[in-house]
Amino acid sequence: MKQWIALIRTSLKVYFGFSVWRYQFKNDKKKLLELAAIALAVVVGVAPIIYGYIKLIIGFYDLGAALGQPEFILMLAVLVSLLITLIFGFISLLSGFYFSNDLSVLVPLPLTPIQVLASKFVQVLATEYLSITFLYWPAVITYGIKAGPSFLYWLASLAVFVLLPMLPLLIAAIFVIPLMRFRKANSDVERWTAVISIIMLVVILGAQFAFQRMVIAQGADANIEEALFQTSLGLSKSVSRYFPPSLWAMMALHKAGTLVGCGYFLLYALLAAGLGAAMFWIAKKMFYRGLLSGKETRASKKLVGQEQLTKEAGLRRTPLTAVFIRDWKLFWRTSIWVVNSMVGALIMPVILALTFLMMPQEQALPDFAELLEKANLWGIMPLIIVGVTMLFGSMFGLASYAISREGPLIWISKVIPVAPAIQVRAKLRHALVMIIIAMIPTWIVAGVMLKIPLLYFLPGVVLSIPGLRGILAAGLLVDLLRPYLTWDNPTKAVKQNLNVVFAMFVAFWVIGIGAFLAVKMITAGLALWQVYLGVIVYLLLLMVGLEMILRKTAAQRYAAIEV
Amino acid sequence: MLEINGLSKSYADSKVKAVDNLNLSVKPGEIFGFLGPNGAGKTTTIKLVVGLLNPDSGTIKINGFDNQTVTLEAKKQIGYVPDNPDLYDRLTGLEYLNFIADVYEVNENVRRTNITRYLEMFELTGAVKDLIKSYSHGMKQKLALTSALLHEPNVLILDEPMVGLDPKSAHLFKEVLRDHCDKGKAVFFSTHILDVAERLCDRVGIISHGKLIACGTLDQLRKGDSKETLEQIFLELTES
Repeated sequence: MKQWIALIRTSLKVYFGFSVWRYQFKNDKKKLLELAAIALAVVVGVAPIIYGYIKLIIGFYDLGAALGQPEFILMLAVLVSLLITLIFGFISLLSGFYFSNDLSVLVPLPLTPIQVLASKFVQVLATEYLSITFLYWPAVITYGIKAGPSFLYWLASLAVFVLLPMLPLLIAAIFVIPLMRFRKANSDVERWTAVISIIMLVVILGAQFAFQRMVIAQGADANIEEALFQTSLGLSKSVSRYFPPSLWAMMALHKAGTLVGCGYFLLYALLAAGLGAAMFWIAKKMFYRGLLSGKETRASKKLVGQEQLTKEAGLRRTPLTAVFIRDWKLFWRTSIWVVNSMVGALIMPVILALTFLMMPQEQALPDFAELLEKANLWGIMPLIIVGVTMLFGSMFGLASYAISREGPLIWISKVIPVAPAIQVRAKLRHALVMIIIAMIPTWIVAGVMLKIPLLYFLPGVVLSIPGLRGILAAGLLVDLLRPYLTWDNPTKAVKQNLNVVFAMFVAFWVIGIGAFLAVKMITAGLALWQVYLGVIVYLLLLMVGLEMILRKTAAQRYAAIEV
Repeated sequence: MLEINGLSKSYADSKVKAVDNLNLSVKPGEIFGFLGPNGAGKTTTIKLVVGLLNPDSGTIKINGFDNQTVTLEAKKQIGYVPDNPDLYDRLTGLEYLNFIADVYEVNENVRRTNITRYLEMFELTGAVKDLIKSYSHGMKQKLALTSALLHEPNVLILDEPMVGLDPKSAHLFKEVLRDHCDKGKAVFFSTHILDVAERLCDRVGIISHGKLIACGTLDQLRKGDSKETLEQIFLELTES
């Protein structure tokens, strides 16, 4: 047991960098100031979002309470936490089980595959607790304050929280562990992982939408209203069909302190224990075999002729293009970065398309074009496209870890005789190209599904370019100010990098201010061309201003990075 | 070619100076060996020279260019190989060399000649289209050396360049260094292999606790005792 505890403790220390933090706090007081500044930035950036989120939760509680089902808020919190853990846990487990750098240290040690796997599982589990904290606790606290349950409710809420992410994570693990065994020999393990991750996400989403369609189709039945609104727990039972154990977790909270509540909690715990046993059994059989096959790298044995070598070695590019091409290749060849930044680009249009395609005909949305026509809103359609494009674009986080992506290899960028201003220009260009590629499916699906004529669509797309450049420059600036370069695994460059989150908040503010200005101009009765002029000026100022600051700061910040 | 004056560096978390008022120069056509026990300040000095660290005080001029004020010009004069050849694992060897040639703006003929020459010399031609992650440590070291030589720099800065090289490659590499210096260029390298330093270097400097405790030709360091080996000199100086 001591061995287990030591391994898990060390593994958590390494993963979250506790030892590094402690060392830095002890020896470098500047870090304390930096932490305080980060905390302040988080509070300022997140405050309006948290305020809106809490208002939403209270609204949901009141809605449920009005229907005699106040526990519905608990159901939503539990269900969303479970689904988020299931989807993102899948990618995190794949990365933790098969791509952690410390595996090459752990495997030769006298540890069993189960112990190694358990340490990785706990790492991911710890991250999931952090992720679901913001989904689970606001709802649980709101219910606790408004419904006034007994003291035991608070104990139960803690127990459910501890157990909650285990179940979906165990399910994901049972799928993930055998995956490496089915990899084709000699195939590129990272590309294979990226493809599998995308397929799994599409399958999960497809299943959700198929189920949604089934529920909507049932809506035709007149009894559904009675079942939903007049039956006790009707709403909760209905949504729990997405993930049935969610009902047990919710009931453990709702009926806390009663035998029924204990029974549901035990049911959930027993299922988790059973899945845990299954995971360990599968791990014992398959984990090391899959892991070791994934570690094999094979030389291609491509023979290079003298002529070909001379030809390929003679292609000359400018330093700007060279840095761009390097970043481009490294990005596409690192599956975890592709999955993190580009899968959203695939999922968004899929969700959009499925929403329309799976809607039964009789319940389909009224014609979007017709709605705009009636409301006389076609004129601002390009502005809506700009806003939506900037909003989606800010979520890919491409620029906000562009410096961090270099990690310990930043020494190369520091040594080469290329001005930092040119290096950041190449990074900006790379991020812009990637974001445009990422947006193309969404633009096409939205354009086709919502029947937006090109006349409105193209100006929107063109106008969004300076906006995108502005938020990318802001993201890159955030990363330049505090790059995360000490990672030992590309997953950490994005998953443990707060810059991605900070940049998103900055982008939300930028978009929010733009939207606010546009609405103010429209409601003030300005002519449409004046509104467009105002928006264009705002976007250009944003782009030019931020890019200028970025270039001016680059040399100073690059020089400050010590390797 | 390389002039270091009054160079000092201490790390934020340490009161001890990693490099303490270091003065030395490397002349054109010279191979300069930089020796010292572990933690003496060799790698810190090299990182300061190539611009990976910022000095607390002092100046470094590379072929006349101050690396703090005319940074890019100074960088163009250098070819650098770090102690651990961590390169872009997800690029092929050829992609990496092309990247380096591009950023140093090496013209087509020079890059063609040098890439083919060094790849053949280090027997890397067959692996040049493979991802660097499939390379052994020695292959990565040879690729790093090739990339440092590509633009024919005036000063080669090498941190433990022999580590990981097989005997044949090490022999070839020593010839390359001598050839480089014969063209009037300079080499500054750190090493633990005293035999190599003894046979290859025109001058050596020994650093201990951040301070240069000896510098000169082997004869100068021997102080008249012609039978004394570099190893004996090194041990005497660093243990006293």
